Amino acid sequence: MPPVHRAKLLMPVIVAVAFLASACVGFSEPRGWAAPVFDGDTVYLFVDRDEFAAVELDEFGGQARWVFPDGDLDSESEIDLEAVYGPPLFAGERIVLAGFSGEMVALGGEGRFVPGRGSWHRDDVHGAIVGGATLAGDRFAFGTTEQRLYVRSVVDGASIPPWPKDGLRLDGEIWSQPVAVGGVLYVGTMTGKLYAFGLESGAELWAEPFDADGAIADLAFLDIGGGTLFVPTLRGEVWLVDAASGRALGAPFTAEGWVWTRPAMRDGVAYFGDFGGIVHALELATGRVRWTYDAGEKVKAQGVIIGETLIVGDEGGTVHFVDLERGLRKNAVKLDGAGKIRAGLVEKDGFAWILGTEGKLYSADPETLTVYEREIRGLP
Amino acid sequence: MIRVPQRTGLGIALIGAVALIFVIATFGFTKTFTVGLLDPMINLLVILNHALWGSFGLAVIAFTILVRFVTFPLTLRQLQQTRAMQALQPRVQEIQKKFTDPKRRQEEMMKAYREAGVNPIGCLGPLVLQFPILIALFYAIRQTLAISPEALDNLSGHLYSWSYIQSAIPLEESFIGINLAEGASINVLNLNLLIVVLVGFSTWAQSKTTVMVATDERARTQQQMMQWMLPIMFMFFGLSFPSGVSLYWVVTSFVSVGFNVVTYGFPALNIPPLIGKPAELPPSQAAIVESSEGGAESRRRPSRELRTSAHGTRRSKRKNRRRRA
Repeated sequence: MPPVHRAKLLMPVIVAVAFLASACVGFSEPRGWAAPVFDGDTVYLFVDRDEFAAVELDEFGGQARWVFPDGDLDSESEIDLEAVYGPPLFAGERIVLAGFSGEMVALGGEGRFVPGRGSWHRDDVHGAIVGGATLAGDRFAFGTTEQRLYVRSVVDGASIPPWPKDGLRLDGEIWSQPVAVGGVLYVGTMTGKLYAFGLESGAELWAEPFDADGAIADLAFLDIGGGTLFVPTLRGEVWLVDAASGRALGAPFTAEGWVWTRPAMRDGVAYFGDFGGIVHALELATGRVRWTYDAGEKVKAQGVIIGETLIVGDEGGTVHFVDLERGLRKNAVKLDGAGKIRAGLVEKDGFAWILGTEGKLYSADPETLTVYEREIRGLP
Repeated sequence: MIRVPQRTGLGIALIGAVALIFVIATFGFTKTFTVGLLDPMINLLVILNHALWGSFGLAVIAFTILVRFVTFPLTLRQLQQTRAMQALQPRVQEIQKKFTDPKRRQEEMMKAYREAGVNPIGCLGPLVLQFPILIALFYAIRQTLAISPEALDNLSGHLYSWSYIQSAIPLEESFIGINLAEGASINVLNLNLLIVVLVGFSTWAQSKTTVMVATDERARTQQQMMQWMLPIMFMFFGLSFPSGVSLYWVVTSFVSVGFNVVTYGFPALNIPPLIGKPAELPPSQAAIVESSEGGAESRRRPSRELRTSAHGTRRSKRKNRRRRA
């Protein structure tokens, strides 16, 4: 066959192979970034996408007590959470998980899904759950990428009137985890609107939603000034909003890149990173920047403060120990094989606990400025 | 028309290749590809989205057409080389029959190519140049769609810090009832599935308008098989990919159909080629070219003859006869 014909036949084949290869790259596959949750000596964490484990911690690492889903249980085979971005909710004997697939499941205390014995599984929501759910008494709230806000019962996952069964339709996709404080539910949308609803009544509490003029992908409530909302946007601005009135408290702070995280707080100063790789220490009362620290890579994960050290993790997989007072580097440790650090860091027993995107767990010691991998044994 | 001497063109290509190798060696392939191709494309896509009323579907369509037209000189060169090769096929067959010694056969074929001013791998150059652009185009659309939180996180690293671009994020995924971020399912009858059908149809239309020379029965069978295999294969891909990527494929295929018709014409509808009509060739050397849409009837009655000077334009017929003797 002449070369030109071979080329003609080869071209679509090459394109096809390239398409297939790109499908295998998986740069956009949902993997989740839920932060670990501690309960005594047990840590609950996602070890791989939607594989949820309870791990008993010991001196060297931890032993998995159980893993969900258990391949041997037929009842669990129909559940597909795909990936989980929000923390698990602990409601009495139940553990509620909300997945990117839009499915939710309530497990029993021992991590088993046994229908009829407190467990339930629901897949009746529109869109994907990104920000995770928020617990508020006997109910939980979450938003979806199809612009809907749901309030459901933790008992059976059913909707609670007056909240619509198909969710309350807002003006944009909901990626942030709603915040529930004092009977009020705050929720931000990717079109930049921030709403406040009565958790019981479902009624809007502000005269009009606050407009942040940038996608709100995360949200935090700060217990200062009678209640202040920390509203970061993907335009790189951070607004402080009065929780009672829904009005901005001054002009927004402008960061070096997207802000998609919650702050670590100490004495009225918010410490948070941005996608420009800069960590900011922002005095909320005055709007003054106390210091900035260059992490060098995007900072998505919420940092923690232990003693006089701020510990942050960046997307390059490096853990930074930063002097809280002056913003100077005490140490920086690159974690080999951790992947990216996107899940928020958690403080427990004087250590900062870090979960990388590769499912490995680490503890950072602010005293010795070192980081250790905590090997989890007994995983399937 | 300004004609660039072949040696000058070769020199420019050589300098370009050396420069590219130097850049790749310095920054690495991934960084060169990302900074040089992918990032500009992603940002252009976001700008188009902003300019076209926040419709990502329209942005994909405009973006695909724009990139295909920018790379049209490369496409045209490839198509013209292919056409010239096709016109030379009868002579190639003649050489293959006449010479049994592989070395001699190769020499004669190269001579024939040289005399016709055709480079046997000339159509591959533009093809190779276009390939990274097409791949970047595909990646840009897939990356910009941000079908997961991780994808949106990754996207931030590709965006320029211009306020116009930053304020356009996130992008609207819905387009005339199609969720561009989601794939299709054969179990759900919706517009996402329609786009998969269009993927198949546009791929089929593209192969239908691509003119191929049926050198022998085996090649003809292969070509006909590919005409049906490719649409099925791409429909299968369409089921796995987000509909935004499928939309890109549909648009790029229809643009290719347009380019094919402009270059080769479309005998079934009596449309002649609009660019670079082929030169005349003596009847004995005329290549009976069959458009792949021809079917049995057109095989019996060639709908069109492509004729070109297989011996070059500067040599007289007498000289050619002498050479053949």
